Amino acid sequence: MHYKNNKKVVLLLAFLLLIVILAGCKNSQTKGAKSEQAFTGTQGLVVNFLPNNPPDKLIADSNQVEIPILIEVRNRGTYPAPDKSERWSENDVIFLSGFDPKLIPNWRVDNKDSGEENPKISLSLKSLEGKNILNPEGGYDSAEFVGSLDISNLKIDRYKPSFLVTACYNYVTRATPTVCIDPNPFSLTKEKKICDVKAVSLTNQGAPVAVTRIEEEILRNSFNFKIYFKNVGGGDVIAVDKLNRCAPAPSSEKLDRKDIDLVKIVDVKLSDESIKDSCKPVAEVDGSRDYARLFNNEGFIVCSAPKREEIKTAFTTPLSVELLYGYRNSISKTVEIINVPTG
Amino acid sequence: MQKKHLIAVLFVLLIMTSCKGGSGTQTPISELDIRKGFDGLSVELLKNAPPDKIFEDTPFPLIMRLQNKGARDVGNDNAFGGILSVGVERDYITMSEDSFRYLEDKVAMATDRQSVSFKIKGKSILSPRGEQELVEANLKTKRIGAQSESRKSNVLVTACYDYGTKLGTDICVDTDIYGLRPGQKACKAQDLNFANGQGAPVAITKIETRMLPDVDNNIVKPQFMIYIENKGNGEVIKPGSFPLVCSGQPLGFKEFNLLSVKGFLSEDELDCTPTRGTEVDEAADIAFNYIKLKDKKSVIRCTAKEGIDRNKDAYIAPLRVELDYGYTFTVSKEMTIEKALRY
Repeated sequence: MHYKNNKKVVLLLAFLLLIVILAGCKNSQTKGAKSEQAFTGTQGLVVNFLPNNPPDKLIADSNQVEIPILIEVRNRGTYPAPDKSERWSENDVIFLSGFDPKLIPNWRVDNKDSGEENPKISLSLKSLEGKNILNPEGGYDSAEFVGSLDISNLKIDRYKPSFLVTACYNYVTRATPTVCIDPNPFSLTKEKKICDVKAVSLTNQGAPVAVTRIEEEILRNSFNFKIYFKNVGGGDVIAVDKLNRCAPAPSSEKLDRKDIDLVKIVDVKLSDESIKDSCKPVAEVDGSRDYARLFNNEGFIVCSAPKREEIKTAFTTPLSVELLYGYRNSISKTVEIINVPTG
Repeated sequence: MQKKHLIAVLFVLLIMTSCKGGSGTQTPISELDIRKGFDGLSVELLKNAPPDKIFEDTPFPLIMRLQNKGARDVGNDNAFGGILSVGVERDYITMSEDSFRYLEDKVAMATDRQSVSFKIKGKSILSPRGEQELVEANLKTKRIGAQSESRKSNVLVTACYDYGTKLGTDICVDTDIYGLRPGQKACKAQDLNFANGQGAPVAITKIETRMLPDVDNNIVKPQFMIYIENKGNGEVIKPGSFPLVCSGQPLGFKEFNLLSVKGFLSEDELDCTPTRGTEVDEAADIAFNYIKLKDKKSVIRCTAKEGIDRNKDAYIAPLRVELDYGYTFTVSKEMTIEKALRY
């Protein structure tokens, strides 16, 4: 009888141990998936209004009415990478527009007087690092705009401004797919090769502009790579050198149609050798011929690497593509301000 | 016994449920839109006052129910703003010196044998139906002559009062006139239709928005085409002329269909043209621009005096249009005066 009870206890303990082991296995798998997720995604900065900030309706029942606009900002992409010492610049801002500055002239931004017609916040003051292995969710911060409406200036019953919050920022896309370098792809001998030359499709890279596909072509004297990229973030791609025009500033020029849909080719490397100078077609912005243009949110460049005599057999190697661009995305909310007579 | 209890409980539950349903949905006070409809002052002759048939040489009451169904007060604390004038065929009906009766002296005051001045408040958030007043006049039929058995006679009541229309709406000031600027805007300039009126007999039915470019100064000037229509059953008269119109004195056509208009964008006064002359109230230092209605309609063009920087992002600004005018209409009742046959 005593022996039977012992057996039951042992079985129970073994079962519990199995559960613990299984649970542990599952956990380690999730961790692996999360570290992979850190380098994927189609978004850069994501801004959202916090619930009821601003509210749908504001009853103006006193002389001064405060309009609170509280937004959360998440960095869903991989830039800036802490290990590369990248930082947000002064041109990376979130600003507010859409209201009548004569009615709401005074704004406090993160509890400091703004003094600007269109209040803005510099991202350099925010904790918004890109996703990485140590922080797979990316940076998160909030920003607060509080406007002050003097009711004596509002002489209509209802005023419905639409508050437009716009984020303008630099962003970087990095893709490093493996390509096959085969000097004789159509050789007649039936030798076994380490790889075949074929098009490579890519998933997104944790940035609003993604490198989507690389096609390879072997010519007599060179390897050609056609690199496709696409705006997948739902916002506007802006030439990085024109990003300072994105946020309104006194006497500054506004963004023009020709400043849009341009990405800067920072580098294209085959192994460790840069082939950027061979990339075409390029667009010129302020004398710099490093830009590629997007049409209907898609674009491509063709870069070529010279065929070297010493390469005799096929091998695989990384093709690194780095794109730099300005990006803009906006959210808006309409608030109904109801002017209730007092006294 | 238990069955009886169960039925009683069910009955109570049924009553409670129906009570809950009966409460319905209530519109919050602040959400009431009082500037709706085409009504201003209404004058209704109560049933049998005057009666349809009446004997000769008999006193009878004329009871007028005044209701201000519009959103503007007639008169104010210091002054009466309207006149009711009773018109009778003097051969058949007489009015004595003290024929008028009213509930409060503050509300109305007889100005002569046939007229009474009044003031009455319009709709407001706290009084969404507008004020009502009863004014009674004691009249008396005369003898209709030996040869007649009966006579038909009309009693006319003419109301003349100063009134106004106020429209407050949101307008999109879009400095990107041709829509060339890329990116999301807070709003887009568009025409506005106002099918429901503004709680006054003269309504603003449509506003067309235009942004006039001034390339040399890098500004735009918002311009609004404002469509005005007399939607009530009466006639528009020049503001301030109501005592004259209800006095029975001869009138010129210049007193009719004339109203003053003012427009404000972000509380800056607009230039409104074409006008039929300007009058200056020196005491108040205000200039009134008059426009003329033709076939009950008119269009006026109001333009911002100062331009708006073309580099500004689109924003929503309050537009206020105020019309001031007098208004007059007549209600009547036909009654039969019968001879009292005495045998």
